[in-house]
Amino acid sequence: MIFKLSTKNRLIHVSSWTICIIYFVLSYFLLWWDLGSKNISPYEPIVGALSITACCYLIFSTLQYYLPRKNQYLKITLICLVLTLMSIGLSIFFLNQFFDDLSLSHFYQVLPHRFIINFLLLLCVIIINIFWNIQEEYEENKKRKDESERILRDAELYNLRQQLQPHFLFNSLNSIIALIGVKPDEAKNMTFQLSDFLRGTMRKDDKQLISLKDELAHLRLYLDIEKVRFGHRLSTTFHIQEETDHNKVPAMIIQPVLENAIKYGLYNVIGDVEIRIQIYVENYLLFIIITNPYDSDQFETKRGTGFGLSSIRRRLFLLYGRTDLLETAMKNNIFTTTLKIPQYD
Amino acid sequence: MIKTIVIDDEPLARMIIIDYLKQYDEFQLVAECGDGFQGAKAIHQHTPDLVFLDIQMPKLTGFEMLEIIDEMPNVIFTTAFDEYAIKAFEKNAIDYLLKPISKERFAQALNKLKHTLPNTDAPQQTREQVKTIREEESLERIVVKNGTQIKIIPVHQVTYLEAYDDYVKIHTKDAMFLKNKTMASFEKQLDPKQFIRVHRSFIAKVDQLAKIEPMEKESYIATLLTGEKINVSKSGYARLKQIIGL
Repeated sequence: MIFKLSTKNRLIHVSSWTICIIYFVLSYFLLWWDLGSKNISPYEPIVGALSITACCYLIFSTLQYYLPRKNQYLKITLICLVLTLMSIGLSIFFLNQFFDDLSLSHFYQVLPHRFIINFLLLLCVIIINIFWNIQEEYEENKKRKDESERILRDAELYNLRQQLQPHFLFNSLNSIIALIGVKPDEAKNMTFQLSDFLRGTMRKDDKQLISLKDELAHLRLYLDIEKVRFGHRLSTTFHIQEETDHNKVPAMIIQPVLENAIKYGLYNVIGDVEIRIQIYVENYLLFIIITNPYDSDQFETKRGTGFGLSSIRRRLFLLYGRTDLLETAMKNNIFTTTLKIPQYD
Repeated sequence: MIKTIVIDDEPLARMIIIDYLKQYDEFQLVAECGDGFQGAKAIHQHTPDLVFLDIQMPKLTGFEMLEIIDEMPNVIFTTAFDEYAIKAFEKNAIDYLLKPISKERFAQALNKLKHTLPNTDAPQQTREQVKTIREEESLERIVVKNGTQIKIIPVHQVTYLEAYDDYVKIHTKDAMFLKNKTMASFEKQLDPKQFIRVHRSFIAKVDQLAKIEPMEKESYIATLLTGEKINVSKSGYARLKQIIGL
């Protein structure tokens, strides 16, 4: 512990020896003040200072492993009292053992003062130390909490993806097999689309910002595959403001929203389905509005899960610290999801 | 001739099965359907010997569709990825095809079917097996048949359930439906935090209870928000106490 000079340990050493020196200087000065320049022995202040330093070290090392709980003031005072007695006991012992009577007589002269001063000093050291440790623990907890939140978020996201991907993948493969016999060119085309889409999904790191143009190309792939699977039932409309190509969006934010729209709008609705995607910039916000029809029975049963959008809302909060970036609305069996992505440049 | 119906919401998925089926002369395709409602109608109309049935379909899943048809055909399930269902299939003996479906696996399934065809109990076994699969899922909506109409009741609309001979009466705020199912299986499938079997003949929804009063020795009567009254037995009262912490 002593060999590993972390910032904390260094500070402990510095402060302990600072206390030692100051203590020595003060006691020497006070003795001199009291008794005049003659007849004073330097040993008494030295021993006093060393014993208080020993007690400081004891406090540091003990409190490293033990943090008093709230409202244990009495306990802290008691510990302090014991340490004070110890420091004084140590001084008496050494003075008795090794030095002359002169020093001892000095010592007994100032004993009550010394007791009070030692007590207050040690109390200060203990309190500072406890505060420090509390602070340290707090920071560690915070770090751990952040870490666990991150893991949870990743898991949530992973789950959301898992719900859809295998299904999507196997069904797409089944469609390809069906196409191979009758429309080999379409089958080929769909195989390429599917591999491009999967590659895009895997490459994306969810902290990364990517251009809207790339993200849209990726989403179009996805929609094209679904169109092959569901034929004329699915139609999509894009309304995209010009010059938004270079706006940036976080990876894996729009896709889950669109997947959600497909899940509730296409997988759970009978008949023709139109998915609309509208994108524009306003007040430094990139608006992405996706609408899909939904089945009212379905909706009511799924109300608790908020259509699976909670993890997207959470991610937006973690990225931008705002809770108003994802909004949903329902009207006339049309579900509208509005995503707002802040644009800082 | 073996009359066959293919039910799947994806046209290409239907196409592949129909394509495979063409190689077998003894199978005759009588209908192809894009959703559970059409499927139920077609089964009623054609009474097929064999149905290829997708599980994940809009509004009415394959399982839900089977619950409302009267005459159970032989069923071969087709599914892409449905963890629970696959697990359940492995336990039971219903045949199922995983998408993408290969020709060889398809042939195997048909072979298996030819062996079970003389066995008239097979469809009944399927029904039982679907029942056990369904019991492991939690119920979010109840599908009932009202004459020729198919009605889907979201579970949150239910106020209470009442036993009625071989049927269960499903009460909602403004209607009542009959379903051929046991109280025990409802008890098992419904969320136990919301639905409590308060009596041999009653399952109550917790948030529908207005008050509970003792009636006679060891029996109680509960009044619902709708004003209806249902009996609560001693053990039902104990269960209620446990869940809502009376």
